[in-house]
Amino acid sequence: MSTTPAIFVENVYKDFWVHARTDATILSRIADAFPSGGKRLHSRKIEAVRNVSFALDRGKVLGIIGKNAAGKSTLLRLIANIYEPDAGTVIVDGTITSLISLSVGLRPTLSIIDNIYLACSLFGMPRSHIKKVYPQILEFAGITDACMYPYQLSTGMNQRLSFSIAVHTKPEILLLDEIFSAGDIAFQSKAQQRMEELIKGDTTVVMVSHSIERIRELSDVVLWLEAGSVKMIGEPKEVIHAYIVSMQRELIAK
Amino acid sequence: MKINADTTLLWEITKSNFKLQNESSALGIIWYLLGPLLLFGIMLFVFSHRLGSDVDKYPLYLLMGIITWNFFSTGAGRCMTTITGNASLIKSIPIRIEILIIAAIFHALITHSIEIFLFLALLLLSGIIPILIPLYLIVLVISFIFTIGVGFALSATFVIFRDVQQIWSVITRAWWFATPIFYVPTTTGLGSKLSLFNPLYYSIHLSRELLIYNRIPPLYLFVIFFGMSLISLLLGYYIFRKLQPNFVALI
Ligand SMILES: Nc1ncnc2c1ncn2[C@@H]1O[C@H](COP(=O)(O)OP(=O)(O)OP(=O)(O)O)[C@@H](O)[C@H]1O
Ligand SMILES: [Mg+2]
Repeated sequence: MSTTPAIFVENVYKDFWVHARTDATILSRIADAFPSGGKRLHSRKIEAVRNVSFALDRGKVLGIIGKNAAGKSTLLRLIANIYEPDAGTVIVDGTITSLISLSVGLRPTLSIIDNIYLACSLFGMPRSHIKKVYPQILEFAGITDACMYPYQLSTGMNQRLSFSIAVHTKPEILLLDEIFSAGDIAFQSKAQQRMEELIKGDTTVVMVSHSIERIRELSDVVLWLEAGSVKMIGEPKEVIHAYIVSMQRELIAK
Repeated sequence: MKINADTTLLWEITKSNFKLQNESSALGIIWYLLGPLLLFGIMLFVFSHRLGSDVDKYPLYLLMGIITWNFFSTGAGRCMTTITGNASLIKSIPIRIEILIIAAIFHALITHSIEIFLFLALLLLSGIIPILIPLYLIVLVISFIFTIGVGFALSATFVIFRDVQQIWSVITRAWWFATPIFYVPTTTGLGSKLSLFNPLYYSIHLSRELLIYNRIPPLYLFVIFFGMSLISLLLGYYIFRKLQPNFVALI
């Protein structure tokens, strides 16, 4: 067994430049570059992730908590190498399966079975392997009719399908963003059980969730992100307690 | 393992594009072919007694031009919207965007191959035996390379400037008229000089010579066309890589 951590993040920064519009044209970009009145009118910098560092060992679970717009999803994308950090280092040792936006590339106009083939190949599975696991994926998600289309499924069923695909890819590193929000109680406990199995099998997990309960039950370490910076990192109990206290204070202050 | 997974991915994406386009059924393919066929019919009707009257085998000449042009323009056009169209995917999975772009061109290549097969059938019906197909395949590969280069450049610039789509449609309109698709290039004057700089002229001219007229064109035409395609690929990919860091935040 190697002693290097599965995920190593050091002094990572990520800024976004917000322009007036995303559907910018050549003309509007030129206008942006030559602002009238001496300053850039439409550009503003958002510091989404600021000086974040942590290391996570193989087979451990990191829970990330924080308010909306704290930078949680951005941090996951930095770990997944979807974003390049502006500064700092991200070193990941292992294959990544990421479930960051709700429907992992599920295409509404492809049948479920075609979607499974597509999504699994996106996670780097060879065809022969997909053939073997797709019945398990369907069974775990609780889908009986694979000829249906994702848009015909309910929100929760879509999420179950995405989660089911992700956990059947035998990931070494699993990145999960808010995946417990729509599943029913039965599925949540099933999902939790499945994740515990994965963790025992040495999968490293980073999960973002607003459901503090899930985080408390599954995490080995909790990271509290606030305005892009690490507010606190450590024992789940302590960090979660501090987080809740701070939330309550804010509520009372209002 | 890595290459195996990449080819699986390329194949699955191409297949899903194909299915999304409703082209996996026979009816869907006919539906797709209807566009070029209609254009062909109209142009044949309009031009066969005017521009085309002194062209040997004008209908085949015209059809070859339309088919070859279509591969380029659909391929490049599909690439343009590939990154924005796959936004949710790109934002949630560390996928190499290059694969998505190549898959878009493969998609165009599949429909193009169907057109070529039908075209070959037409040739046989007209009593022409296209023995130079192996050489034609070389032209096809070079066209593929050229289209990928343009596709890379278009897909990347479209993310940054959304009016690239309008600009591109004006450019392709002008390009279409500047290319000898329905007329014969003059051998002197401005038009002939222009053709020398037009990669589409090479791909269409070479295809016609090889398939319709069973003539082997001079080697230098292949070399120039290949050189242009290589420049297109290198330049297109360079632009793509330069702009790539901005993609995810802008879609
Ligand atoms: N593509 C983008 N362009 C500009 N700004 C962005 C972009 N993506 C995120 N941001 C900004 O970065 C900050 C962090 O966003 P992020 O999505 O990481 O938050 P989050 O912690 O995941 O929030 P939530 O709990 O709502 O999911 C926000 O202020 C957001 O406005
Ligand atoms: Mg988020």
